[in-house]
Amino acid sequence: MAEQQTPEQKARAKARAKVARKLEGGVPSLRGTLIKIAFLALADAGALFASMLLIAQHQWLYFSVLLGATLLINWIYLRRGNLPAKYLAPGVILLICFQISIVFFSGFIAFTNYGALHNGSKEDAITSIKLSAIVTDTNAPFLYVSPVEDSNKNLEFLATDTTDAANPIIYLGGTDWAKQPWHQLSAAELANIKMGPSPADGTVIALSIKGFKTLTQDQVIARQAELSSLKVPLGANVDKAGFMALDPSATGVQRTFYDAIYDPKADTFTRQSDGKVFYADESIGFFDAKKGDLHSERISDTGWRVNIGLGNFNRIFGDKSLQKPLLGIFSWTIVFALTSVVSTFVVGLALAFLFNDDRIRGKKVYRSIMILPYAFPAFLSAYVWKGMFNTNAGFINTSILNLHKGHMIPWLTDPTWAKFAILLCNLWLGFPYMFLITTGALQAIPSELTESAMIDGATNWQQFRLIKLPLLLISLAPLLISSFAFNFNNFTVIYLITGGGPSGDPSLRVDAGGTDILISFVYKIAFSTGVGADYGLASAFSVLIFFIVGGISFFSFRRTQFLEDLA
Amino acid sequence: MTTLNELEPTDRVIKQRRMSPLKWARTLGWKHLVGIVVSLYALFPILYILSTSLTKAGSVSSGVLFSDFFLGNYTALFDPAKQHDRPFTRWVINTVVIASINAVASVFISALAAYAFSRMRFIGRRGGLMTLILIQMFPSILGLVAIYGILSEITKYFPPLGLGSLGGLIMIYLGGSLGGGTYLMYGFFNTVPKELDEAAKIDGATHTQIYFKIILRLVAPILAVQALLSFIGTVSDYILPSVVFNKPEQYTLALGLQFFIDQPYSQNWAMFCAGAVITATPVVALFMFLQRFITSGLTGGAVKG
Amino acid sequence: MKILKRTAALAAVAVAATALLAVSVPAQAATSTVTIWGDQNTHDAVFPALSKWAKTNKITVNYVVKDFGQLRAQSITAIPTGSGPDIIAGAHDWTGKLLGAGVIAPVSLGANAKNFSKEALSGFSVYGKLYGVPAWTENIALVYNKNKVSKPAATTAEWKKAIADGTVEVGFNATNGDPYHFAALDTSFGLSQYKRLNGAWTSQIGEGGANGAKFADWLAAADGGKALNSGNSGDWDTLNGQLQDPNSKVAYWITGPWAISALESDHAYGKPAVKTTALKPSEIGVTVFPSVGGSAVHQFSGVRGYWESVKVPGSAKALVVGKVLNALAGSDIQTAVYKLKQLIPANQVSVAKVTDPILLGFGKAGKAAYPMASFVFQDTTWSTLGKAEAAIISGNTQGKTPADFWQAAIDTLQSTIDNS
Repeated sequence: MAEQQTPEQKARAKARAKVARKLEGGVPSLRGTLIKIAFLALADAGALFASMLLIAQHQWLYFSVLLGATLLINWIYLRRGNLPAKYLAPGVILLICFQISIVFFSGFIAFTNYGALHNGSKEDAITSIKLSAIVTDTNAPFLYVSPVEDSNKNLEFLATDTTDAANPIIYLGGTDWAKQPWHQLSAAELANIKMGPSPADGTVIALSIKGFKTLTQDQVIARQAELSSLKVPLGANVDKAGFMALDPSATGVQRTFYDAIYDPKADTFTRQSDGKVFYADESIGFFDAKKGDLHSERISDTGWRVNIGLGNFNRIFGDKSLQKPLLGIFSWTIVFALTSVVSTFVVGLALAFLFNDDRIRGKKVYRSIMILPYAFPAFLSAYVWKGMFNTNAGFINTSILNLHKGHMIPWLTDPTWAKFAILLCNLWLGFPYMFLITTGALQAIPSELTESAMIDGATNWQQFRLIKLPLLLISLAPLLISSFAFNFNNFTVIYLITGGGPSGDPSLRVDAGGTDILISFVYKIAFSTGVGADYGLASAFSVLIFFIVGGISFFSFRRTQFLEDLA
Repeated sequence: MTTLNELEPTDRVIKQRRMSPLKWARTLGWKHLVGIVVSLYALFPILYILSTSLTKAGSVSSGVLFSDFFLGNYTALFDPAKQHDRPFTRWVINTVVIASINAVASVFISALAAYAFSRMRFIGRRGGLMTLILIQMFPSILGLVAIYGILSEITKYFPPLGLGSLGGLIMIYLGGSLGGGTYLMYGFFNTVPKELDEAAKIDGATHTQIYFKIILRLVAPILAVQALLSFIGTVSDYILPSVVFNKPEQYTLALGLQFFIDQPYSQNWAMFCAGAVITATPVVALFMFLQRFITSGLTGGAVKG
Repeated sequence: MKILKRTAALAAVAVAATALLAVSVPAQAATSTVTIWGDQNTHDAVFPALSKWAKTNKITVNYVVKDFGQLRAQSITAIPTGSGPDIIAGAHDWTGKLLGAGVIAPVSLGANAKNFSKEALSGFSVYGKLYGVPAWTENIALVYNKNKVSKPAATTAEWKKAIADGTVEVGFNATNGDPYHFAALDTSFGLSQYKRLNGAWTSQIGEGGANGAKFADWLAAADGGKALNSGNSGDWDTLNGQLQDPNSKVAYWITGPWAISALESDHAYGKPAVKTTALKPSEIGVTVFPSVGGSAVHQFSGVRGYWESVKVPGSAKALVVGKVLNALAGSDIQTAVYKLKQLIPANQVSVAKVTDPILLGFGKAGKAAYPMASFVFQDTTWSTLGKAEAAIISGNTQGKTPADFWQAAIDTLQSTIDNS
């Protein structure tokens, strides 16, 4: 750890900086310049490629952002001097695009009701409701169909009702009720019909009619977008009479009708059966009967994403059913993070002291074994611990502790044992790191310090307590703070071992498990339990968690020497 | 103790030989005892995985480790006939490719930044470094929705960096690389005397020459360690790949392995563990190989291991 | 001036290099490719027959294997962005959430409609509209080892004794419970997950009241719920092994057809490990549930099936996707799936071809089964009831009597549902 700077050093540093600015960069070599150009060209090529795609799709906003960024990068690297920008640009650009943007996006979602029932845009919701409003009349007969095309390239359905196989009834009609009305074929028209086996299952149906061209299977596939949404009205008022629509396999048509109709001008849905009107409610993101009333009837549970201001935050701080479990979870999060840091640090420190002794034979072997847990991918370890903790079949109960049925330790199913199990596993995962860093820190303590203490007659314990430990804590404080922040959000361990369980009081409205830390609890809100995913609430939580962890870390860092080092 | 530490090696050996058994037990013997106990604690879950991977039934049900020695799980993983459904070989390749690209690129990017923070003085330097440390504390698991949203937006306009692309995943990783490595590297860069730069400057070296030819060579150990840590981090990540990738042949090992245990009634722990051993072996080997440098890498040169 | 010149030269070189490196726009996805997202088991059951069919119809089916637990959530996030599947394969009780998220479109079965039972269709319907194509059905029944039980329990008294003697096992998780399997028990007390009206579920929880209290007391009783042999999901070996082991008293297992293939292979369980050998199909009995509480048993039936993405109708691959769905509904593929994986088809034409006595046993037991509800809040109901059951069995009722604890859980559940 660098020592405090004296005024002379500071002055020298200032002078040095001045010289550096003058000399900044030196005279570029040809090779360096060529490499630089090559890299810049590569980046520009990528940008050019992307901008062509953006222009092709008329995305002018994204295009101008890209253009600006590209120009900025070229400016940074082509002009002389301004070295910090040259060294920082790649990282900072990526940081802004893929990290800070994520933080901001989450912050944005926190003010919306994005979640299970508010999953997409309003257009998506309307599309979905409109599709759901199209009802196939399952009481109507299923008619085999041959899609045909008249001389003007208008599509019509040539359909055969084979309910009475001996006397098939044949219909024809197109989308325009006035010009090509749906009708049963007259005797005269029937003379123009050619019957044959249906390509789907061989039933004998009308395959073609004079004056029309029957579509081949390939043409059906080629025009599927058009065919699948083709509606052949059954009367002048299609809303009342319904229409014929193709079934998904394109083998037949069946009577279909709207049970709700969307009016784009009024932005309402009207239910056909009772004439009830449902309004687009922008405050809660549903089509409902009474605007602003969450409990009024909706045309559908499918809603859309709307901005709800501080709604999510109000729920976090105002919802009584959240308060009690949250308090418990928050305190366990702190306990978990602190205990994890302290336990791993104490074990790591003790081991570092014990094995900082060259007389021990096989020291290297011990060290190599002890850091294994750190090298092993953590998610794999978590799975293994979970398996070993299994009450009835786990290796710990059955083999290590050699317990018998009825006396098994409920490692993962009892809240207290589960907490202990989690901490035991996290100790395993974390102590090697602490062992490594404390070993390093110990070896960095100048031997003069301990020697002079020896001369002063200090015991080993006094040396440790009064000299080594404070020095260690000073140099390792930033790492311990980071470790706390890491464990505060240590999702992997909790999620993979207990999933936050065992579950708490089922009479609570939220699923607050015995080992749930804030992050795993919020994950459940976001992705699984309850009445469905609630990304908005989860994002609000994640913003708060960020402020909590960031705040704790920031103030802790300020208390360490960290910031002085940055002078 | 301290004095003993400072004896010459030859003296130490002599001392040790002369030690009476009782004294040995008191001074060193108990340390061996502790060492063995801790080693068992550290080793046990790993031996358990290894043992399970060698069982036919999928669990060490006999209660004794290594009572089976069945290699079938390993051969089954690479069995060409099963690659269509579970392209394990592809997963290995994908993991190595993604983790390597990410390790090299993220070290490159954060080393550049660390150099700037260590050697240059500019406005926002303090705040910048602090921001970097704090920004990585954002709970990324909760950023998944945002990550998905951003990537799917990119997919619409520029597929090579969007969902289902290697590029998209690597970009997300690299976005976090500044926060992950810069601070530790910064500390290490500070331990390289600035006089070296200045001497080179006076000799007419450019800033890139100083950086690439002098500084980077001196901090090579930390570069290796940071690359290793980034490599381990990528290999261990099962969350982001599951957001970005759609096709099994794109999966990484961490994601693919879950296939063996995701069906509630047909979990294949033996195959999972065999896959886990294959996943972990190169990582552990690299770790052991670079062990010498790791301490300094982790403490950012604040202390030297 | 000099610097400016150099900068200009550099810029020129950069632009030239850029132009050289520029690449063409990627090609559009083919309209005859249909993407399905589903889990591994569905893939293994359906893909062989489906891909054969697709080949003859010149359609490419791109089946993406997903983790079953994440499949639904991933579909919900992916479909609105346009990067989701065309068809989702899953369990029918997802329908409510998928529809709530606005990611699925109604389907019509066309000529196949007449071949599906009302129960199978109701599982995929919301407010009377059909949203999914049923693939195969699953329900639990009483599975027993014929070597240990010659005549299975049939009356309430016989069944109660079998449970009290510790001969019955059920694979519930001690934390989260398993209300799906426990439906074989709680419904016999006259309970139902929701109250039923005109053969359909209402949103009123039907587990409370006096009957609920009786059930809760039975769960907590030493010769009742506590006497059930449980196992965590990791205990698959134990559940199979106990039933196979001639020396274990476990003779009955409350489980479904998915357990059969495991019963027909060897296991090792317990400590010290007991190796048990596979049962022959003729040694496995499947029968209807006797009643513990005296009322009729209505376990759940689950239907697996397929939904169509909301992005498909009116799109350039609407009919191709429709054809695939139609083929999946048809008896050719459903019969092939039955033959390959012994799954009870939903298409009645295929059902007629089932001859396996074990499957017929499940089919018989399933006559009384109700399809699981698919409300948006369904997950909450599962988890609340399951956790409450698990807590009562483990005696972890937080100082309340089992009956009070059970009723409290139901009251909160009901209020959660009412406020959603």
